[in-house]
Amino acid sequence: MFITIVRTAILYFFVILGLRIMGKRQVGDMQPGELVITILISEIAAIPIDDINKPVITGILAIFTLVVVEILISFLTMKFINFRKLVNGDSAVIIKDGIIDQKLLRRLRITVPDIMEVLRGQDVFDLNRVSYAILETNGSLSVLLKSPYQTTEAKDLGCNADSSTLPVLVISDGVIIKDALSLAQTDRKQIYSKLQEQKLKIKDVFIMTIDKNGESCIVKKDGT
Amino acid sequence: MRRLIIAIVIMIIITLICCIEILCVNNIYTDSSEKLTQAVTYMENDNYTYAKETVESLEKYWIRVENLLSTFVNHEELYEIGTSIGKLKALANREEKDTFFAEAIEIKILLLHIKNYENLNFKGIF
Repeated sequence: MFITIVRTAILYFFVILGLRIMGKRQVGDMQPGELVITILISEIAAIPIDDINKPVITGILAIFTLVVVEILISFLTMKFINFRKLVNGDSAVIIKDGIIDQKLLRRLRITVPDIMEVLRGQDVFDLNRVSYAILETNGSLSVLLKSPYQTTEAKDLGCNADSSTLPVLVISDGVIIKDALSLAQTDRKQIYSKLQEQKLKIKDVFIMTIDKNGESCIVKKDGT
Repeated sequence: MRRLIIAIVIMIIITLICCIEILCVNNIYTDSSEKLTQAVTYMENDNYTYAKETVESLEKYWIRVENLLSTFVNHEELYEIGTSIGKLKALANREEKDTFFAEAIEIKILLLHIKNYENLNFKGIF
């Protein structure tokens, strides 16, 4: 039993290490090849866990071989367009000016209800509103609406809104996050003065965010 | 680019581990086979004392290398070989020639199987 626990822990460590080296994105963003390799890695890791007669190193070597293959393939897809098309496929325009390309749908083995379901998921209920719908290589559908149906933006209304600023977390659970100070374009002095305005000490602060305009938000710890 | 360098380093490490493994397995196969052939020759010449000593030295050698081999080879196969060597010792003690030869052949086949399985060859790949 202990052997299984130790072997599982070892393989878990190497699977995580392998995935970190690959630099995986979320499952939804994966290309077909990446998805296959991630599934294969988990399958391979399960073999030495399941069968204690198999040496752990065979699983580790297989995992890292897949990691190497994945990195080499992603490098080649980055360098060569034709190779990228071969491995990842090509995006396909399945709706143009509200008209579905039926021939393409048949070739891709996608049904109209599937398309309609995805469109509804993007708040598009009328095909006539779609200017372009593109099926991406990772399986997601990108939709461009015809101009009358597009979302209004601030610039369309002639508003001269200030550029938005990012609130950066500078204090977390009573500790100043040093790396965040440069991103927020602030320093300790400014943080201390902000806290002094509210008669607070750093250790009393649960969360403090600050943006580059100096706007801050402070959440005190419970009981202070 | 950094990931590519890491991938190349990992590839080199994997290749090195595989080469070391093949060398280890081949060396152990050669040494074990030699000892086994020697023991069989002694048995054929009715030299039971020497046969027993050779099998004992083979057993000691196997205990020593089994741990190293278990890093690369299926543990079940190693266990089978270990058991067969134990039987061989008993057979040499009882001077049972025919069963001794049959057991020795079985060990040789098992060793050869490990060697063929671990080496890079067409049969192993497909």
